[in-house]
Amino acid sequence: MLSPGWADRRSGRAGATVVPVRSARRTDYAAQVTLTVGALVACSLALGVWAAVRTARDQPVITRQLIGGAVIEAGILVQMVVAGVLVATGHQVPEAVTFWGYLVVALLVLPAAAVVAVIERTRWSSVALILACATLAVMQLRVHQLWSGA
Amino acid sequence: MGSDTAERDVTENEQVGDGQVEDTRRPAYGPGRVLIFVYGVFAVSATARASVQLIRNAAEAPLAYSLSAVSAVVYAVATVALAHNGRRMRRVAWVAVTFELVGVITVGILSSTHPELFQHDSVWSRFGAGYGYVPAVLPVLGLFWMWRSSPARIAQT
Repeated sequence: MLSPGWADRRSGRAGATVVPVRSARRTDYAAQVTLTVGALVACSLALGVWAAVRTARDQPVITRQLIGGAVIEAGILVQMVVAGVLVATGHQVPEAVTFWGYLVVALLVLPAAAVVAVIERTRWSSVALILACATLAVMQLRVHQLWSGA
Repeated sequence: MGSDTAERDVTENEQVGDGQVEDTRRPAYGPGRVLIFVYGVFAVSATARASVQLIRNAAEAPLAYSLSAVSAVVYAVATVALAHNGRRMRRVAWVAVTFELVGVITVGILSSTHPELFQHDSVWSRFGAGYGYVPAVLPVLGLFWMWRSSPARIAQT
């Protein structure tokens, strides 16, 4: 996933053609970020649909759903690490503080839903999980906008 | 749903008489917890938004940015008060949620009549359109829940 970026950086370091390489770097990352965000949105929507099915059946959140949530959390962490590396290696995020703010808050949403799942053993914990997944999907779309500077 | 069970259990408790009163209510109180969850999400995201705005440039739009900070505090207070649900904390929750409703209506109207005051968005601008109008719906749901979960109302019925 990192390879085109690293390749650009190396050629840039070699002092070949710096300016065209920079513009290429931007577009390359955009595709990968779209893929990452798309995967995370798809995962959170899948978890949300699962929670919706359980709500309709009058069932609370179960551990397997929390494991699914943990996978999404891990995905956000990987996203943060990759974004951190890309920013450190020279990618410009126009609204950097807002961008990181969204990622940090996105990291908190599912654990909060997990707390509700533990204390509320009715269908309403599933409702909370639906809302958490919807929030997460919207936040990921905002992250995508902020990365490309729209 | 939560208060329905509470109502039923109040009568059950009365039947126990003056001996040991067993509280048979479930610890869960259903939709109220979802409401607290949504308030919590708004408390965190409004705090994050206000922090970002104040860190970047507080002087850029003092009115809109201080409004963001105020709404963040209101959401945080409402979250804690709704979750605590004690006698005094319920009063705090009434005040916070009412303030929130007044705030979202006032700022919503002002941002459409005097857009020059609100060139920078806050949570409550345009009735919370930036957040899917959830900020406008949330205080109504909050007040409804406060009324529904009121111990005085449950005891009367």
